[in-house]
Amino acid sequence: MSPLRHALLNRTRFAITIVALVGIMSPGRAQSPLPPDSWVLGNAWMSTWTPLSPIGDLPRRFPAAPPVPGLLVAPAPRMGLFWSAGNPGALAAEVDSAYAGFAVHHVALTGSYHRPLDPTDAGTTDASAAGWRRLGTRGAALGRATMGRSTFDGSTFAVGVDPYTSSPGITTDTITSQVGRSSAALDGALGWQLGGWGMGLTAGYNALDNRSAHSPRARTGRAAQFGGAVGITRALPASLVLGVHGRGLRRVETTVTSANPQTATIYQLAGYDDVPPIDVPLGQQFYRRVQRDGSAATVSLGAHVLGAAITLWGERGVMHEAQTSMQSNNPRGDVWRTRADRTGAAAQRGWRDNRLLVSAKVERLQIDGSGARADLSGTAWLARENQTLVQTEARLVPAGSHWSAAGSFALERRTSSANDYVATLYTDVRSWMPGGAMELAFLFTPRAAVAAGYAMAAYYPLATIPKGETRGPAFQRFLAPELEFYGSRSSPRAFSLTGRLTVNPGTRLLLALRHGSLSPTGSGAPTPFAPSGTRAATDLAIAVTVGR
Amino acid sequence: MSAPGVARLTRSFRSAGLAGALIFGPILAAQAHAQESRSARGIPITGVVRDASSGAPLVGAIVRLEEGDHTAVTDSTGSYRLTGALPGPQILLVRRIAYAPHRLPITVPAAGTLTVDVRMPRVALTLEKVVVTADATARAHGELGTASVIGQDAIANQTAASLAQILELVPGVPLSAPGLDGTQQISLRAAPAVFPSGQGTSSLGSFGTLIILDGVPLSNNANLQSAGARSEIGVPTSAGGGIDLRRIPASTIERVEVIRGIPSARYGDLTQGAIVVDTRAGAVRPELLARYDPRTLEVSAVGGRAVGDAQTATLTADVAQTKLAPGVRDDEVTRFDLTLAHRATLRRAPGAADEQAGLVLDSRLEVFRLEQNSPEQPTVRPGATSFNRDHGLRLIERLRLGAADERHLQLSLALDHTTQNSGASQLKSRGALPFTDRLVEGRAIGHYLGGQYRATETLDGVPWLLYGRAESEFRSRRLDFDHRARLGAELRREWNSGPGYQFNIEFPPQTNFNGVNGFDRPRRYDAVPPMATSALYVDDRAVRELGAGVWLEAQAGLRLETLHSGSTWLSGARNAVLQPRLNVQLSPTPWLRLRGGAGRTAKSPSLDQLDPARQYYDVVNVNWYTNDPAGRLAVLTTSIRDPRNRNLGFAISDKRELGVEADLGQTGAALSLVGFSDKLSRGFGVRSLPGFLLREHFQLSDSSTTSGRPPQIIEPASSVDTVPILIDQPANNIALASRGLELTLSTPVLPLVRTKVELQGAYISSEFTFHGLDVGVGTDFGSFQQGITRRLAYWDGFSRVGERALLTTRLVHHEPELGLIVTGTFQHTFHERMHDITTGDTLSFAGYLTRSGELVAVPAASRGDPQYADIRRARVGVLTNPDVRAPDWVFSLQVSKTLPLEGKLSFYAWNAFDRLGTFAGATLAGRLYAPVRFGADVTIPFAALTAWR
Repeated sequence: MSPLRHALLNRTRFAITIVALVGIMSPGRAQSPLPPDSWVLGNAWMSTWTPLSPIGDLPRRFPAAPPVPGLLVAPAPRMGLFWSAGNPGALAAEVDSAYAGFAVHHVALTGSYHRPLDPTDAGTTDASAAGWRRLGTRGAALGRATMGRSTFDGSTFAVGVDPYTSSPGITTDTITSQVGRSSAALDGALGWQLGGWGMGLTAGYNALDNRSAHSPRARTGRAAQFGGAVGITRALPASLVLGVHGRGLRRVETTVTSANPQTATIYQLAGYDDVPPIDVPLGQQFYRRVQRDGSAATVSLGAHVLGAAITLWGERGVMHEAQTSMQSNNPRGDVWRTRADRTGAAAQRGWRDNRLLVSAKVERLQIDGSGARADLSGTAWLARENQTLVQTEARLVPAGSHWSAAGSFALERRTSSANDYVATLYTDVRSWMPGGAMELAFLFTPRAAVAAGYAMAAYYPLATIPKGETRGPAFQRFLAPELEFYGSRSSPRAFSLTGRLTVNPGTRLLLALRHGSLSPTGSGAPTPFAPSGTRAATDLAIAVTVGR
Repeated sequence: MSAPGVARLTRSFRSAGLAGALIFGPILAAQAHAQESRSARGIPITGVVRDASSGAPLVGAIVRLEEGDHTAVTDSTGSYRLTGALPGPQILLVRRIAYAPHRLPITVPAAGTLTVDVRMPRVALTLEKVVVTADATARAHGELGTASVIGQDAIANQTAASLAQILELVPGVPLSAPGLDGTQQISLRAAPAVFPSGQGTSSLGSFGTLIILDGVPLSNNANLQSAGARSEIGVPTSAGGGIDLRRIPASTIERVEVIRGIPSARYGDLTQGAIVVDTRAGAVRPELLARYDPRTLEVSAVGGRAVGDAQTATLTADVAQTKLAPGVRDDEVTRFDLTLAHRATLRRAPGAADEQAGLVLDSRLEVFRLEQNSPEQPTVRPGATSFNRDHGLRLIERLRLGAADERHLQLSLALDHTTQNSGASQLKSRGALPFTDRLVEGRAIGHYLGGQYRATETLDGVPWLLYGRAESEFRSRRLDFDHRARLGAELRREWNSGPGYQFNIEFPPQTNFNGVNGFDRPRRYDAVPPMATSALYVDDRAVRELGAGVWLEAQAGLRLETLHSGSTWLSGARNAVLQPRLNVQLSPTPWLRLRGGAGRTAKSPSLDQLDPARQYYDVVNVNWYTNDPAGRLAVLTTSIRDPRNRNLGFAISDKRELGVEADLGQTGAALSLVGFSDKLSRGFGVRSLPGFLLREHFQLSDSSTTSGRPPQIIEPASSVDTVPILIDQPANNIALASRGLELTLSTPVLPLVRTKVELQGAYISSEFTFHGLDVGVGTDFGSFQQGITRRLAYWDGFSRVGERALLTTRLVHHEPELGLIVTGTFQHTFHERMHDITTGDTLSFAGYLTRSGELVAVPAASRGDPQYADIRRARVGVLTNPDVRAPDWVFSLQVSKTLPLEGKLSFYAWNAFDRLGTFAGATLAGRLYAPVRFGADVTIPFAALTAWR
């Protein structure tokens, strides 16, 4: 091995990684029929620990097929207090190897079946890295970083970055200009083990820069988010591990829409109220700043029962969001507060030296929110949302065989009810979404392998929503299509193709493609505001991974 | 020194033989002291340099002391032996191609031999004690004055597109977003204070801050890129202030030394301080750097290699672009820089370092281009564009004769040539006005101009700087002091050969005309006489041990700087300043230093101040406007006033400082506290000289408006009146008195969290005083000229104080095993305030100006009299209440991580929390921060690229 190659291997083990963060900033997260997690460098289990994951929020996503297991692209799922419950105190105990990956990703979205604030066409290209390794005998480190550039066509009305959070306050406009978005994110964790104690911390940061292009009205925005967590664990008798960790998160986003040189019209959505348009005359601008602060405390418990690693956790989080258009010290603004309770359990068991590995995870998140408007007194909104997610996966890598296989099943139950006392409207959307995925991999030679996978799901909603025809123009334009979208049956599908070349033991080159689509499947009469057509996403990645 | 005395002295210097004797004499004299000099050699330092990972000995590593020129090269066993080290705290520098430069604090004992073994990593981030901030207790090369030294590791770790952002590591410098935004200038040791007229400490201070790039000063003295006084279209330019630091890419810098205190006599043409910048040269590992953030793209490459045994060649290149307001405007700044460095070392013993060669020839060729373009956006601002394009060529030759650690002579010669093209255009609209384009004094028939037009102005300058220096350095031992003396002479000639400020005089960049102040006229820069300055200096640095472990070190020097009256160095002296300088340092223990210094520095005026544009007045004698163009008559008399000030000379700064330093050497802990007082007198400002013009009034022969032909004037004039004018003359009428405290505190690495804390704070108070006549801001002098008011109040001078207290806290978390450094930088502005010493009440005026340009003083006791009711008014612009800005803070984040094959990835976020700052309130002024700016850069050694082939 050449010295340079040797250096590459050594250094790569030290290198940081990335990529699940792609989901945080790419249009693939909430606007895509593909699963929201990163794919090439790992599945959702690689991102659970991040201090940047939302607190007190349940973003409204596209129905998506469950992730294809990714037999060739990522290590097998890991579970534990760190990987499943996010306690950094358990990092040193749960990282026993070195792994690193570097990837370049391109995701393209297209199709008219989307919500009003989603773009019809969008694309993201990013470069990312992620990795973990042990530090001496008592420590471990993990890190990720990504930098990306997205473009959105001129079809979205959204001024802000992520319009479909739980918050009722959304800024929209009628500019519909092309937007370019640059983004960067990094997060990492450090953990140490001292006897029966474990301690660790995580920190994360991401930033976005949004700018319109080729538009006579300038739409600019930026967002910064930072979070951190501190956790400890304590080994107890009978292979029990008890952990406690706390997490804080702050996100600020500022948007400015300028009449430059043509005038602009803004709709500052407030729940289901039919808000009047705000005209931005020549030479002036509309300013909006959103600050979201969240904190959460989690208790987790790990155990080994009948050869299976089991993790249980419970978390209480609170979030406070303030929005304002005033440029002054201590401005008045709209307020949205939530309380979130998250409980979950994960289990994993392997047989025959983990050649058969079964993983399962159940998690329930409930959010209770209330809001107030700056121009009114008292509570303006109340909402309750909950999500229950069951995920199971089995992967089989038989000894001596060129074949390996994996299958997964997922079931999501989600309910969302919201009461707007100003608009005197109530909505209730309940949905079930069962789905499954299958993947087969074949090893042509000791160095070359391919895999193909397929996933599908079915989205069954039951929605009580206002009749759009009876509402005003802003409701009809921005809200009714979204409610109709969630009230319509749909069926997401996805397939994947992966090629892997083992350059040398421990170093693999990957080329991966996946494609997903979503289309409505309801047989009833179409409603006037329901979106139509299909939605498709294609994800192409080239990656190098090192380690186990 | 009196002017006649200076003239006599200058005449005597015309004899080249004397100058030669002064420079070369000591070299010859030093031969006689060779034996004595050898006895002055200090303590030997020995050791072995090894690879950090394999432990293999490294041959060819260069080991030297940061202070001084003692150098050694490791042999085949990795061993080295340095001689001549002076006892006390020192910094040991170790370099080798393909390895990260190593910088090691050591304490040299008073006797015996010191052994220092070094383990060199390939990547600095994996170095156990990498220094990524400025070293505030180090000294600039050959200097004893207070300095901040910023090494390559700190530069590489700092998010910087230009030198300006590297200088944020210096106490008291505010943080700014990385990029090429705005004109970037640095003003050392001055708090912001701005007069109502717009003149402020920043332009004065940056003009007086000396930038030395690769051993030769950069100069903005011949930058004439400012539009005429009456132009209504601005251009983005650094004229009138210091060098635009955007032209110096951070990626190509090896080392920066910021001499905040009293520089040695070697440095002249400064009032604030000196910044010495060395770009990368020698055998440098080739690497490529690419940076991306939503506004800035930058790619740079650096690499150097040995050519045979006696030569090295280095190339650095950088291309960067910043979009100033993407999504809103298309304005952008683009920079290109290419530097070629070549070093030939001759008469060198086998295995010896460059510094031990008998003859070293350093050549530098730099080509740069810096452009700022604001293209026209027809739908946003039709007709409005502006640009500023500087491209230059700089050639430096430095020759050193003799071994550096013995005695040597160094000759430097540089030619700096820049082509500057600035311009702007705007749509202008004006009513019909009488107009003349006369370029000489006298009366002429004018015509009328009016309507809408596109006014375009261009400023094409070609500044030149010819610079030469001869310096000899030699060592001796006298009176138990080890001496290192320097004697040198410096010559500068600066001129501008550009066609200058040009516009179509029929469509001038102004629409305002009050019937007296005329329109600007084009001005050729090549008609401005060159300026020549020369300097002689002598400097001695001496050190001795007073007792057991107690050391005294002093650096004393004298510099005579002369501004010549003509364009050559053979012409007489227009002004000369003798500048004594002294720095003293007492080290009662190896870790403690008590320091003090005093000295005088001087800065020459700029070419524009020496030869300002002539001022044109077009007095309207007849303004006969009819609807029929054929019937109109405009008669105007053009007067030209020359604002040159024959007495304009050097600005002078008297500097004092006292400080204490505690340096715990290898622990990394250090404390530096410095109090300073800088008094700049005779600073460059503009004084208003009152005067008057005679205006003739004529009767017309035919005053019918329907005749279809213009009337005739009847000579002689029927009446004459006076019109007051103010001539803006450059003058030494500004004073800037700054005093303050600078604090740097570095903690050792806290082992539990592997984090080091560094505090840099500065409190600076600057009193900015203007001496002379002031007619006030917002005064309608035009109405006075037109006779609407018969007299005008004036005030005497203005004095404003700016204060600022900044504390920058850097938390540096380092994981050598991971090759990871996380730097969090908080900058807290505790205190920022401006207040006026000048009063602005209605009785504060000093007198009044008559229509014939006379100043009539009014005694303070009489200012309330009824007869002065018409001139009694509050002085506009005077702060009734102090302008206090709210305390606030901003945070920046930097993460650097090694990559495979010795590369590096850095992420940065300026104002990472996207803090808005504080909006203006009822009692506080606002302080708003620029939005979050983030990005990443990747450094890849070329070896990594070739490895994948």
